[in-house]
Amino acid sequence: MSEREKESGRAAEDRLGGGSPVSAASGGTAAGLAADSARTGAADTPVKLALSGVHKSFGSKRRPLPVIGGVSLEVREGEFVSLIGPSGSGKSTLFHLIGGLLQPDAGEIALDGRSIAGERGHIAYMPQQPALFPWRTIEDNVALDREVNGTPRRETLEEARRWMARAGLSGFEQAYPHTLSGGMQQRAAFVRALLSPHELMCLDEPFSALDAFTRSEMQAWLLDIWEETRRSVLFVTHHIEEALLLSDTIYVLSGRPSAVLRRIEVPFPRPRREEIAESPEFLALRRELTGLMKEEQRKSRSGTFES
Amino acid sequence: MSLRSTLAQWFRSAWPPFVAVLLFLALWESAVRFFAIEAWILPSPSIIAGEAARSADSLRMHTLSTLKLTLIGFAIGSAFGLLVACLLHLVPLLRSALYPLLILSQNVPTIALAPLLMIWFGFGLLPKIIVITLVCFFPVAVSTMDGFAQTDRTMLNYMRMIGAKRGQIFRKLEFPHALPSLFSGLRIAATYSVMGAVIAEWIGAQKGIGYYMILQKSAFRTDRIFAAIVIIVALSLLLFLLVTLIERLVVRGGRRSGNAEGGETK
Repeated sequence: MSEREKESGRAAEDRLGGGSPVSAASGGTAAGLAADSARTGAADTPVKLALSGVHKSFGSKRRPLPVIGGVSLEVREGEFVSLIGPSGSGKSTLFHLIGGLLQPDAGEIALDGRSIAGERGHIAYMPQQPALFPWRTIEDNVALDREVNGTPRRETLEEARRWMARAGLSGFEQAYPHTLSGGMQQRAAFVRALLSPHELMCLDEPFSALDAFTRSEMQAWLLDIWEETRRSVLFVTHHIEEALLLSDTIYVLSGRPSAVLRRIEVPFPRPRREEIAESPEFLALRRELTGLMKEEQRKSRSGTFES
Repeated sequence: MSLRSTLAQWFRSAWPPFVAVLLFLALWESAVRFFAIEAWILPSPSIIAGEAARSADSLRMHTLSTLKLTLIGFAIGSAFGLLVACLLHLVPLLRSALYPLLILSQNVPTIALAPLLMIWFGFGLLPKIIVITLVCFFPVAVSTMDGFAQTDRTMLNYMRMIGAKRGQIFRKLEFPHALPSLFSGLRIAATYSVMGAVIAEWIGAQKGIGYYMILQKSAFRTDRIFAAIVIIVALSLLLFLLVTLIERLVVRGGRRSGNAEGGETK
């Protein structure tokens, strides 16, 4: 495992988006290495993002409405972590806290061991709606994150085009977003996040607006790209199968005020194929998670009736 | 959309009103002849056209003078409106203090200020430019601020999440997002500015289409007044088309203010 350690250390330095020509090569090696390691515990890889005891309430001082009630979780370097929970469990609020748009009332948010609570500009982000700028061509949209982080558009274009090709967007470099299908727009939004110089990617229910078929296509595509790049990912979804297919670790959130109900390590080896969805192990995990979610949904609904 | 298909589409939608205008002119012509209406009350289109051709030189001189005045006033007024909109948007305190006053101030008919401006600034170019500036300022400022306020929430949220600074959000998101709104303001201002120029010339000028109209009014030259009106309409239309053309060049991505959202889905 020592070699794996070194590898992930290096990957953190010249990760994709670092702008160095080595990044593509090291990404390739990482994927090759990952194929033989089953990644069960991964307790030896350093922690990228850590939330401990995060609380957040809205409303007035006298009548606070607690939304996040003590969430603690970890994303290790190169780990794909999913958050699932009933609707209204404050998943978006949690992202706003990590993104620095909101200050936590209590608790700590640390990136690479350093507190980033209330600080912006440390993460790559992909929102639920693609949020591509309609007046920018696709390639200019894809370069936007880098541009905001200080890299001139021109310097990004070559790499942007390479990744756009991987996303099936070749030939659409000069097109405007409104001419693309929903799935293509989401892929462009993903490439935009992928090119960010920030290693940690926060994906906020990125496929929820897509139809079922496009969605499963996008999952397979994302799985493929992610296994190649091995970025640290925090992925919010309410789709259980999606979480099981993609993640190394799943955190199940409770209804409001949300806390972590369960932490599940997904045992399937990488690279994964969609076929694992038919294995008995997968089905058992899915049943367990579905039961947990149903219970939570029911509780939070009766909770709203009481108040 | 290519230029060619734009032209074809324009032609298709333009010919019915064009035929309607021709019919109207024919009706006018024959009515004037049939009822033998005197030319100082209602001249026929042919008389107006003939007179316009005869006094082409003097009309051209007056038209150019008005056009110059209009363009200067339009440019200054629009620039000022845009500047104020940006300033009020970027400084919330300023906006909450001044925006209501801005709306209230529009109840003062700008045209009514013209005589006052003449007294203060004389009969030169300056008071006329001030009138046009005042007339253009408001639509540009208000629609641009509207555009800023309507910035897409998801895009704004995205920019914040990736750590964009205030200036970056303004330059890369809010300003380009407000461009179609700015242009609808400019279109209104373009028509207003011609009107402002003509009225300013009525009140006091030595040349210009407005001055020409006043002159012909005292001589009861109805035909020449009609010619002047046609020129004013043409000027308004010209400026309107100019703004539309610039918008076509500047606003990208199929979201022009004319054909609103989703007009060009392919």
